[in-house]
Amino acid sequence: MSASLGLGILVLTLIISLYAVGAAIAGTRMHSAQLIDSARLATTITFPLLTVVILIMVYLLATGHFEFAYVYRQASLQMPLYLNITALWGGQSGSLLFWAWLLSGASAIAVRQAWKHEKPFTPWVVVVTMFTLAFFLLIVTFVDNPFARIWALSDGQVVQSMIQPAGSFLIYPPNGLGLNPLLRDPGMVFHPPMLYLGFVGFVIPFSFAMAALVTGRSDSAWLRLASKWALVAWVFLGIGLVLGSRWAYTVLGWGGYWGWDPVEVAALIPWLTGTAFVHSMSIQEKRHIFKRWNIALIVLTFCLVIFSTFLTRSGILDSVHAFTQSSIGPMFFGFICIVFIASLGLILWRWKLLESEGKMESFFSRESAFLFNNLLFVLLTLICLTGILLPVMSDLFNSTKLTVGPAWYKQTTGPVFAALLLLMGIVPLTAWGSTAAKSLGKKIWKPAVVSLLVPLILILTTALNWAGILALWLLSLITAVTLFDYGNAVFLRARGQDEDILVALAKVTARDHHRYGGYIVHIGIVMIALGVVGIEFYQAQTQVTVGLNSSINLEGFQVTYKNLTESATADGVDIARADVTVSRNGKTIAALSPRRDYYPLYQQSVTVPGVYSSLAEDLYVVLVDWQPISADAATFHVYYNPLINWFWIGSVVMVLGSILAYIPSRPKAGEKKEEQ
Amino acid sequence: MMKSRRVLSSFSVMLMLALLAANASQALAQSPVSVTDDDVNRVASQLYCPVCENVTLDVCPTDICARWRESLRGKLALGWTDQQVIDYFVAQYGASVSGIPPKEGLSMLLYGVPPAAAVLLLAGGFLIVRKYKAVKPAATSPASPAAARSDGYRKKLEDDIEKELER
Repeated sequence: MSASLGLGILVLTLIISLYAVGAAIAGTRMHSAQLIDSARLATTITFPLLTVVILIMVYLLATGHFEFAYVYRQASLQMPLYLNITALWGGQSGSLLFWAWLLSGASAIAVRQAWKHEKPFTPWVVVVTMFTLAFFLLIVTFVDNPFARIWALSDGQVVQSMIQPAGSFLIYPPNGLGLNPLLRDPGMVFHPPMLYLGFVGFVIPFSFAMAALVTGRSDSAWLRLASKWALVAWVFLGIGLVLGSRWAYTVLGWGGYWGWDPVEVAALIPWLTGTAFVHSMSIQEKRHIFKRWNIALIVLTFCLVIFSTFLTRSGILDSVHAFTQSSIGPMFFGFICIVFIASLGLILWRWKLLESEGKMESFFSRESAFLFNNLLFVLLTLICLTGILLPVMSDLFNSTKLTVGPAWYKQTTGPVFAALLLLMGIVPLTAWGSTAAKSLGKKIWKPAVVSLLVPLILILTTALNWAGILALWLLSLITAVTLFDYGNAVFLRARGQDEDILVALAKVTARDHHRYGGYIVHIGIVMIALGVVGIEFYQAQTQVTVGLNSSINLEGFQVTYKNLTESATADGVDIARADVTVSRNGKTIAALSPRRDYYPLYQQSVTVPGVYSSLAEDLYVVLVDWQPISADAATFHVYYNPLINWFWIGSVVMVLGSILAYIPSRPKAGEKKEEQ
Repeated sequence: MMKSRRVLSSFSVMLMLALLAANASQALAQSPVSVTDDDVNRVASQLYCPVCENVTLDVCPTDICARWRESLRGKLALGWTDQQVIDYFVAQYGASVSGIPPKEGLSMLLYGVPPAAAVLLLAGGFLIVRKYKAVKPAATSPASPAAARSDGYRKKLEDDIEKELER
């Protein structure tokens, strides 16, 4: 009953979304406010309808209705309730339904915003968002439906279908297979939804851009509506990527957080162009230039969002993250082609209209720095696309399989990241309009000198590692520049207004919170980069087989093997768990229990490391092998990961900075009317 | 005659010694070298499991990878260099087992595209700035009041900082 209701509502929502597209177009052509209003309401109603579908799906997963093929594959009586609920986005059709649900919610808000602030945009926002929604619902309804049930045919064949095949009967499996063992982690609660929120979030700025193009608006109205969405999408996608890294770090047991896996890279690509867009939109707002560039950038980001979803689901990528091969790949490819060609056509149609109104006055201006920042992000995007597409092309045209590993990515992206860091160090000292080289030099020399202390200390106190030293110098330059600029503003205010330093800090931040939010984001990035530098340039590791009460020494730590127990859980998972102690300078500082969980049903092992964490470093212990029965000896892989925790701390700081930058400015008295 | 026989015998002894030495060095080269897990992982981390997706050999828990690691250990024990081992695995199982694609054929694009794109984009950037520096601005649409307010404040602040630096 509930399933039929779910399926019925799904089909109804698909019809409503298609109606919304038709009504919006017809309403514009016929100048019918009634039709446009109807399209707007239709858009709004898709959200509550899909919410009901989602709730039904969650109910089926949580209560173990294994007669549904999706529930049978993704849920299990052995999994805790929270994992059975997360199974909603653990499989292909469920995740697409979840995508559609988030999109319907975002569309409802966006259409309301357009209606309130830029009425002429409304029908076109409806067209773009509902066309995208209809595409997803089309797949979920007709190609990969989560409500399909398992039927036994009279000849003994088992099939899955939404409607009962003739002469068949429904199968009720007593239990489901459950999620892939690697997905049975609390990370499953937040990582995929954050990524999807990021992906969906970028649909809305794209819809505003398309609305501006169709209605022939060349001003920054679309950008004012799109900017908040872009920032929110960028933050969610960023959080999703960081949570994925954290998950990989704590579960995959290979001592790292980012393996340059093709699907990881596919999710990173829209974030790269999104980052470029988040920076470049302010150029248009402040200087009225780069109108074409901004439109192109958001079109590219949207296409890459769909492309990323396509790559994960087409089966063309070999990755631990990829869904099984399915027939929806060509549909996604077709959708990307339609979107790309339509967007390109609109840009060309409005080419003249999108001419810049301003000019650049100096190579050292802020807009110039932002332009190069954008180009570097585009370069990173091109590199990443080359890295994931070339193996596909090689397989297709040469029948040769290739693997593009981390070494290639590090070699090609490393210099670009370094250049970005250098730019990040300079940009806060540049100004909109013109900045003379002399003036920039005057501002930068003090922080530059202070930043040189870091490499100097490193050269004098540690083993020479030039790449690491260069990277750490760049990070100290960014920190010094940011703190000098921030400090100068606070100091001048405190002196000028005779205020306490803390009061001045709060008031300076509140006065220009977009800018200082950006500064905090930069400090967050410095912290993240510190973690990357630590693991990339200063990581140490060793693998040793030791007997009971024997130790492994690494970077001043002693890891002593104490015990190993083997057990089986009620749900049939074989667990081998070692007990080790960690000592430093003869003092025991931690007891860790690295383990290996084996899932016989999946014939798959999950390595759970034991980690001793501090702000300075992580000691990451992996159980590799052991002597069965006696457990007299075991093999451990021990990683020393310096500074890695700054990666996670920096991510939190980055989110806080983004929130500060996001808060809308309060209009001063008299401005409100003008703004409207 | 005696002298020639002595010369001949000493030549034979030298020849035998040389042959022995050659044999000994060959035997030494073939004798197993002590190989640690770290040595194995150093090479294994550059190779990919043929079964699992994008998992390097050093961390892959499958049986096939365990066998590969043992085979790799055996080759290192015979004195093979890291590159020789990698080349062997590539020759046996195809280019996809190495994380670094060969510099030939289509995969040359991997080595050509990034630098070419960098040069083109940066050159394009300089040309764009030059073009925009020369452009005559059209009538400018007004910035939002909030942005204008923030700009005015920032300009004043930057002027103050400038003055401060000149002191």
